Order: sequence, then structure tokens, then C-alpha cells
Amino acid sequence: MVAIKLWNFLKGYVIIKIEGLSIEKFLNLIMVNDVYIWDIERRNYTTIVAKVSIKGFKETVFLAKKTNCRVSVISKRGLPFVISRLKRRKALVLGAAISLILIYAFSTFIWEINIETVNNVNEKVVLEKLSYLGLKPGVSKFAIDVNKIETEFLLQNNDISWIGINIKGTNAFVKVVGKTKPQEVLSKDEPCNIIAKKDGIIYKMTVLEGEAVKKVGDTVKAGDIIVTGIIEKPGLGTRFVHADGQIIGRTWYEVYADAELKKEVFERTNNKITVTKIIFGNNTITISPKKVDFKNFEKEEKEIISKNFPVRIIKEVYYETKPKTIVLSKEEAKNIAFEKALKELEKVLGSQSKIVNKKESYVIIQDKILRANITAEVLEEIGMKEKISYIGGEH
Amino acid sequence: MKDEIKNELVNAIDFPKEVLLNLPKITLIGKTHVTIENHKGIIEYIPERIRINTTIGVVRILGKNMIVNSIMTEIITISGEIMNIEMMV
Repeated sequence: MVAIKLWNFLKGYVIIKIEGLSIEKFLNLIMVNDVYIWDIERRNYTTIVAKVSIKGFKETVFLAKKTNCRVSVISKRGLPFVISRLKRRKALVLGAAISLILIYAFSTFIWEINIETVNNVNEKVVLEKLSYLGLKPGVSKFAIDVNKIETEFLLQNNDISWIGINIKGTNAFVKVVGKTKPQEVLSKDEPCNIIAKKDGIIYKMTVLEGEAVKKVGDTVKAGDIIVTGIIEKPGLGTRFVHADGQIIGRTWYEVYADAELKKEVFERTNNKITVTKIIFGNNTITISPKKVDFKNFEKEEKEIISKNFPVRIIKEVYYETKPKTIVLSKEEAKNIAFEKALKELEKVLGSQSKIVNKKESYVIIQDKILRANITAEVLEEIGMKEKISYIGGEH
Repeated sequence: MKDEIKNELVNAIDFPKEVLLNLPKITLIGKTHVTIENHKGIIEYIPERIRINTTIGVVRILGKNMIVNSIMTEIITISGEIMNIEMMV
């Protein structure tokens, strides 16, 4: 059915009204003469409305005269008529053609570069370097060689381990992975001391090389030497060694987190208004279904067309919000604050640390805020190697 | 006599009867579409009633809001709410 309709549209047809007394005779004549006529609808006793092909129209008029019927055209449909109408409106056709060409032309450029980085790579720097290599907004897609840019970029930047450029439509998606620098390790034959990274009490010591200055149970302050690499023995002279070992210390951490007992939050209601803004240079056209008359609202902005395009379209959605006071019981607030404080603690601690003991206490400040304090006792590595820089100074 | 022989022959060779005997073939799809093949022209057409001439007599179709979708020398297609198909010999 759709195929037939499409075919009829392409060939063009005329909707005609036939008036007369001998309609049936006329229909039979049409049939015999092989005129393509369809969708015949009887309006009343003397009239029918039907569709007839352009080719058959002339014959229809001739046959209607033969049977004393009158034919009048109601409307002309189909592609041939559309074309003849467009022939009279050349400017419109030209405009459509130009706009199509422009759409195609602009779609062959790159308008936006999205950069995603891993391992502390500065996006701005990457953007700058890419634009130096030729990948920047406004450059033609045909003018850039992605593989070449990738290899060039890797050759020029030693701190990048991988770069991937993906061009989708008018966007370039760039993914950059930076190199993680290995920790600087003192070479084995370099004399060094082990000093304390932070304050604490030595809990366990495993000395592989060097001479321990402190012993288990001693309190150390950050910077104190725990294992020395300078070994002095009477009669043998002074030796410098590479002190090595593991020092586990008992350290303390104190963290706190707050939870509000009484909180005012804004909740979204079901009302929202979508506003479309078209920005052309300094001119802004705002299309809004109605005035935004919410007392409190949240705004969400979405840019539909990229920044590098001369015309910007911004869609703003205003959500109506209502204030709502939430009162937490002491227990609930305690839980929340405690959880928060724990998270805080995890942030501070290194991955190898082990919490041995923790104490929590709660304070209420001004009837509004409940503060949870956590004091945690942690076992962790507190030793750090430090190069001996005063070789030969004393002796 | 002649028709009988013809009938026997058609039965024997198992060929579409409407083609060999020049009979109308009426196809009804649900109650909304009727096609009539091998017709001999329209006698009457109003939205409630269509009469079509065939070799074996007049076929009368009663219904509501009927539209002749297409008419060609071989086939007529009718759509609408069909209520009754009658053979009037």
C-alpha cells in the first residue's frame, strides 16, 4: 500500500470531481479505456471524487464530455506539480541547496575537541600541543592525519605513554594517558640513613643493613634518624653503608566530620519550564513557553550547539523547588558523622596502613551541628631513606 | 452438453476455473475489502450499494461508506464496511 502511494506521488495525480447523471456509464468507459483511476468516492447522487493519473486526465475529460459529465480539478498532487511549483520559486530552491551544501561543508570540519586525561595530564597543555600539531577547532577533517598526529605527539612528549584520537562527526575525542613516574630509589651502593617520616612510636624494626640508633618502643619525631648508615667501630675506621630495613611505627591520627541536626534542603517539585536561548553574537533570542515565576528553582543548562559555532543554542531547564526542613535524631546524626569521619580517615591513611584501635567522641556545637571525632591508632611504615650528604665531613 | 464436457475437462486438468470458464472471482478480506476479478462493469455505485455485472449475473454488495479503490478492466477493489454480498442471476 505504501509502495503504491509512493509510486502515485512520484508519478503525480489529480483529484477530480465528476458531476453528471450517468456516473456508472462514465466509470465503465474509463475502465474499458484503461485509464488509471482510483479512490473513487461517491459524494452524492450526481457527484464522485476520484484520483486520476496525469496521463489519464486528458482522456477522462474527453470521456466525461461523451457521457455528459462535468469534470473539475480539486487539487493537483505529486512530485511533478511540486517541481513545477518550485520552478517558479527559484530562490527557495537555491536557498535549500545552499543550506544543504553548507551543512555538508561544515560537517567536514572539527568543531570541538574533547580531552580526557589520565594520570595528572593538564588538558590545556594537551590542547595547546595538539593545536600546534594541527588538531584544533575549525580544521578540516581531511587535512589531518590522526596516526601521524598521535605518533608526533608521543615523540614530542616524554611524559605521555599513550594517546588516542577518535573523530566522530564534528567532534574529536582525545584520550591521553600520562606516564606514572616510578618512585626514586636510591641505588644499593649509595650510603644512606633511614629517618622517620612522621612522629610515632617504633613498633617493629627489621634492620637489614646499618646500625639501629633507636629501639622498639622509642618515640621518634619526623626527621629523626632511626637506622644510620655510618658505622664506626673502634679500630676499623668508619664505614658508610646503605641502610636498609623496615620500620613499622605506631602513629595517631585525628579526624573529625560534621553532621547537621537540622537541615534545610530544596526538593524538586514536578513543575519545570524549558527555555531555549539562541545567541547570535551579542543578540539573544529567548523562547519560553511562559514566564519563570518560581520562588525557588534550580537551573540546568545544556548547550546544544558548540561554542565554536557562530550561533549558539542553549537550553535551560528551570525546576521548581520547595524548601524542606529535615530534622535528624541524634543517633542518625551520629551515624552520618561517623561514616563521614571514617571516609576522611581513609583518605588520610596510606594503602599499607593498618588501623589498630580507634576511639570516637561526639560533640554538639550550638545545637545545630554534631561533630564526630575519631582518634585512630595506626600501624604503618614510618621509615624513609635519606642519602648521607656529609661524607667525610666529620672525619 | 457442451458446458458439461467443458466442466469435466476443467476438473480433469485441475486448472483455475475462473480463467478457463471466464467466471468472476470474488475475494472477501475480513469485512472491509472485496475484490472482484473478471467483471463486466459497474451497474450502480452509491456508498450503500454497489452492483457489478459479471458473466453469471449481477453481484450486489451492500454496506456502509463503501469506496471503489480502483477499477481496471480485470479487477475492481472495494473497501468499506461490507455487510452483504448477493448473486442476482
